[in-house]
Amino acid sequence: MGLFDKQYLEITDFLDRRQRVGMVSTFSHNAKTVWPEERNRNLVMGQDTAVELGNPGDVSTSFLLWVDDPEKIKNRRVSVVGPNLPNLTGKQVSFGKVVMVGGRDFNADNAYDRCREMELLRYDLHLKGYMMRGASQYQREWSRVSREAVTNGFSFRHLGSALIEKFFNLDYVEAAEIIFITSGREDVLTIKAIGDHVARHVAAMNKMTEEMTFDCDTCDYNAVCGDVAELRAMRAALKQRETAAYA
Amino acid sequence: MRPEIGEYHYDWLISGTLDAASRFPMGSPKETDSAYRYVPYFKGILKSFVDTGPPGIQFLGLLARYYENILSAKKTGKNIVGTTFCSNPSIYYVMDMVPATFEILTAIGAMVWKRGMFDYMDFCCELGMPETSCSAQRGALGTQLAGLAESADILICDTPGVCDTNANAFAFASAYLEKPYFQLNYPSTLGDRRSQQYHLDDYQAMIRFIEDHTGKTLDYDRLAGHIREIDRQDALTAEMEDMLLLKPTPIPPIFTLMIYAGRFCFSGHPEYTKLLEIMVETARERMKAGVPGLRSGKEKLRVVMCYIDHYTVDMNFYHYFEERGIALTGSILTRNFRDGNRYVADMPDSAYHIDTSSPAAMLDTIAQMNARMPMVRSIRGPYDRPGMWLSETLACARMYQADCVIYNGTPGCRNTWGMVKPFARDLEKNGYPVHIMYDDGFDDRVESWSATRERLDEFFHVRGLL
Repeated sequence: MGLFDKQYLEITDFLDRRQRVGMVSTFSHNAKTVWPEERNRNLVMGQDTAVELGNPGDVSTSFLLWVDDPEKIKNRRVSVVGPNLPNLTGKQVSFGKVVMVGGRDFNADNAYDRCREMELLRYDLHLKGYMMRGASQYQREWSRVSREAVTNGFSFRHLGSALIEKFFNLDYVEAAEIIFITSGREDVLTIKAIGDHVARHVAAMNKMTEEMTFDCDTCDYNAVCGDVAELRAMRAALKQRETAAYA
Repeated sequence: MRPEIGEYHYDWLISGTLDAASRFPMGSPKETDSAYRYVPYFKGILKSFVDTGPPGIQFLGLLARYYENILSAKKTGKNIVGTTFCSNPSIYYVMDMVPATFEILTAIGAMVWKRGMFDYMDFCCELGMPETSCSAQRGALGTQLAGLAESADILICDTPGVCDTNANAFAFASAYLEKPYFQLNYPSTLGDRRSQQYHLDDYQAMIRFIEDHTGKTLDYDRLAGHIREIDRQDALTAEMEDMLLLKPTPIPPIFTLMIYAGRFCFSGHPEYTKLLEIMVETARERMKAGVPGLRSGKEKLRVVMCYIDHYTVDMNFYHYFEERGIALTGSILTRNFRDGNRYVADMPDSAYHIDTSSPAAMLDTIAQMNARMPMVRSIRGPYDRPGMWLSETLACARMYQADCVIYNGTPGCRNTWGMVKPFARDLEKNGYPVHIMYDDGFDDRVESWSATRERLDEFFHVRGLL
């Protein structure tokens, strides 16, 4: 089992169930789905906002996971569960975003660095009329889309495509797929519950990498590592490396 | 106190000055320019606001209104509550009282009068307050103790455990003036269930205290109206915070003062909403035109003030930043920590949320909002705990792309002096040059403004920032 295999299956199952009731629209990213960029002054103010995604008053989740088999990922696919941007009603909506990446050779030595590198990619988006307002370590993402952008046709297709393109700049990424959820609070909460497990795995990885303490009995993430072989392997590799350094 | 100072009722004196100041720009620009020569002592401060345009003029009116409220309180049957900047004034307005916030009143006097608030500060010491107590309270409090101001009917502060000098100033005033006094207490943590409940319980006790001493009861419909107005104000403030993130920012240094001074005076009042609307519109126009907030037109550096600003005469502190081309991205006072701001994304426990769905929700909203006012929010616990002073400063420094961090306070700020060195060391470790100002933000006798300015210049030069 890979680090996030269980969560990957849960997400694809969620997507399948929503697809069966006709709530999902899918797009394939290609060279035509580009949106102009605007750096430095890309500010979307309240009065210019068409929709706010994941406001703190609503439910929000955003997380990333990877699988070691790129074939599992529907490469370049952007799925939207619920209405796409032009059809969203209300100025604020609960929002979910899941990025699934397929790559090769994720292992105990590189997983932590790769995870951080991939997490930072979302800050690299400067699409005109789309503003990331806040992204937190608590896996929330809060953004605004301007009226002008929506009028000009901006949709999750453009947002997802731009992000997927960023992932392909990383040499270890072979496939990337994005799911946006706008179908309401309940669906976002369902995905968030899966994301919470992903977050626990990532937090356990961060702890062992940053703190370099290997006392499992006192660690908050003992149960997480107990369930996931990859985390145990990572711990073993790090411990071995530290032991070698002091030998 | 010099005898001649004691001859003038301070509130009438400053109120008359501010009232005249608010009318000063009402003529044509030519008339306003010609009139400056008739007010040589006030030209500096007046020009500071008039040159800021409509927001500055609106702000002058706001200050005049604040004093007008204090002076007319007794006549209109309202009680005056002597309080602190760490306490949100909305509840006082809702309960038909007039807040007199000591630090605001001291800062106004310090910026308007060349003689500052020195005599009133010293008068507190003549009566027995220590010289090392906070000058921010001593200025306005001195006018109260000397009987030169409209006397407060009750005193309320929320700083015990956070700032002893602040809390003791109120305790002293209560004993000396024989006025009822309520202390809101704050635990050393923020956001956890226990402290949230503590804030709510203590706040309800404060409301009971107000009801007992004023005979007024809390009107929840009125409270809902104020909270909804705060909601609008918070949204406008968040717009300005967003524009502060831009590099260069279209927000001038003086705006950061106006954001918090307006909030401390008139949170929940439409007058403050109007000020914010004008400020947002002005900054928005600048942003669209690509014009920086600095009059020099070039932003060379970005600074985060990790504590308070410097309130020397004529707004010279803010002019200093203008002259040097330094963008002031705000201080601990500027940030309101509403959950709609970007800087709270990683500090959800430090933020408050607005809910007017029921009386209980409204009470919780205002209690938690009050617990997140400056200083009591992030100086309450160990400086390096999550959500406290260091993490808040680092979050803001990163987000606002600060080139350096500056600390300023008063000699009475023992709550921060006690750990400012390790705090500065930790900021330096994170890559932010730190300057500690050894002056008094409200009293130029501790270090003259010209000396303070030179030390700032020296810091920017030695650290290769300018």
